[in-house]
Amino acid sequence: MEIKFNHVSFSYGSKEVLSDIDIVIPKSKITGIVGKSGSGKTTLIQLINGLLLPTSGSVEVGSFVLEPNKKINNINALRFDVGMVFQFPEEQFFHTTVSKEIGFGLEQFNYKRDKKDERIREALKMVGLNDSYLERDPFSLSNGEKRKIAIASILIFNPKVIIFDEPTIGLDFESKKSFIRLVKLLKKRYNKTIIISSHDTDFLHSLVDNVIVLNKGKVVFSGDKYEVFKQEKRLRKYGVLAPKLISFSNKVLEKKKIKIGYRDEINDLIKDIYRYVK
Amino acid sequence: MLNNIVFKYFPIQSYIHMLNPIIKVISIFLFIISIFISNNIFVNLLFTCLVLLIIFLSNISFKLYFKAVWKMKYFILMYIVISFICRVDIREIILIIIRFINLILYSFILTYTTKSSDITYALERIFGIFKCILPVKAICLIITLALQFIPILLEQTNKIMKSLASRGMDYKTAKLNEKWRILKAIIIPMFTLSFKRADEVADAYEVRYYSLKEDIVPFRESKVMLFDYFYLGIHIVLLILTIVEVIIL
Repeated sequence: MEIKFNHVSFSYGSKEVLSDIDIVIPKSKITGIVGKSGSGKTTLIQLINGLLLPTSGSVEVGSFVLEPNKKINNINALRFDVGMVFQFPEEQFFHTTVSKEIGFGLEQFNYKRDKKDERIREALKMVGLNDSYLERDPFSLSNGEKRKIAIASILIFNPKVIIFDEPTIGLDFESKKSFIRLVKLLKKRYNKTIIISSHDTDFLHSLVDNVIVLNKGKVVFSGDKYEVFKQEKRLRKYGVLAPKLISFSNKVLEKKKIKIGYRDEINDLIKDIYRYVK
Repeated sequence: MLNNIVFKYFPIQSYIHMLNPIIKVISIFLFIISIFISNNIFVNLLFTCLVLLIIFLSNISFKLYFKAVWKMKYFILMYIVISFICRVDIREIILIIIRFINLILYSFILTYTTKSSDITYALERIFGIFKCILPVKAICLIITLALQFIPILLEQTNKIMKSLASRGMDYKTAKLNEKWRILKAIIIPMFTLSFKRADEVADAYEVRYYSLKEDIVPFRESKVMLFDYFYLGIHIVLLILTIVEVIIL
């Protein structure tokens, strides 16, 4: 499902948070949104599933068009297609068992209610947890597990677009790795359109296809991740640090005039260097 | 947006921000006494003028204050309906509404322009005289925490509502019976969050050696400037005039 922002602006009262956003988020790709705190990342993603409506311009999400002050009658149909995992989703649990928490969305959207239990188990399995969690109290789980339950509660209704708002905050290294595995699987096997907003460019670099860089509510860069991230100096001007792997390659090129290329994984980069030295 | 403006401190420069917190708290007490002893609509309108002048001096947009008052519209409407049913005099109804709006606006002036820690400090100093018979410090701490928690909880409610909406339970578009379900769903995480936050705040106080049993030397220098005397003077004069007006009429 492709998402189009047509000259979108958004204001909270007199404060303009987003200004003239004109971008396309491609279908079946992973898109990262980067920017300093207060650059408008969260506002941008909340415009996609109709939690906020633009002050001017329009947002096209598949067949849905979100315009200023225009009430959408079938808003739940849009939210069924666009799942959103919030920043600290674990703070928003309200059921007493994991199975009820995950099944909540399914009930609201009236989707395949007969297969509810089966789907809860599937969603739990996708995030790497087993059936023993079903009857546990979500509030008693660890931070990483809570985050996984929050993701499962979105995956259960199988949305075409999945949005993650700062998904790695508060997660340890292992949890981050398993999150990256899950997102890659969602893209590769299920062709989902995935949008991730984050400060962590190293994490985004290992995962995304395209990047959008926001600064003071405006898009300053947008496109292929290598094209965007290699402009290290310009990124720093907007308060965004380039990923370490890109930065290393840039430094080697600058100081030793050796072009080793850009890589997503550290292991691949080491192999390149080894090949060169050999 | 409104959730973000209720009882929030706005750290900007203004004459009202610079006032001594003790003077501000004493003034609000004098103001409350004045508005409650006066039964004259015109005197109460004069108080409204004073409130508007203070709002102007506070350098915070009028819009923010009136949005907060607008939030009370159903409460005011309910009062009007009940008064009409009970056949209360129209003058009386207008008077109560003006009093109520004055009171709301003045309390917002206090919270918008004064840090909650300054309010506690002022309350502790003012009620310090009752220290032997009342746990003043504990009461003041409770008031501060309550004031601090209101915007936090409102922001959190907003977040939970958005989270519910993205899972198909939108409060704005829900029917009446569904709205009740949504409210029920919000209460549980709000409670857990409140306890969690309360724990965190208690720990934060403890690690900084805060103790209810021991007296601490205040780090503030409580300076009273010329404008403080002027501000307090206006409130005293208003109170005296109101008493005179009540006695004469």
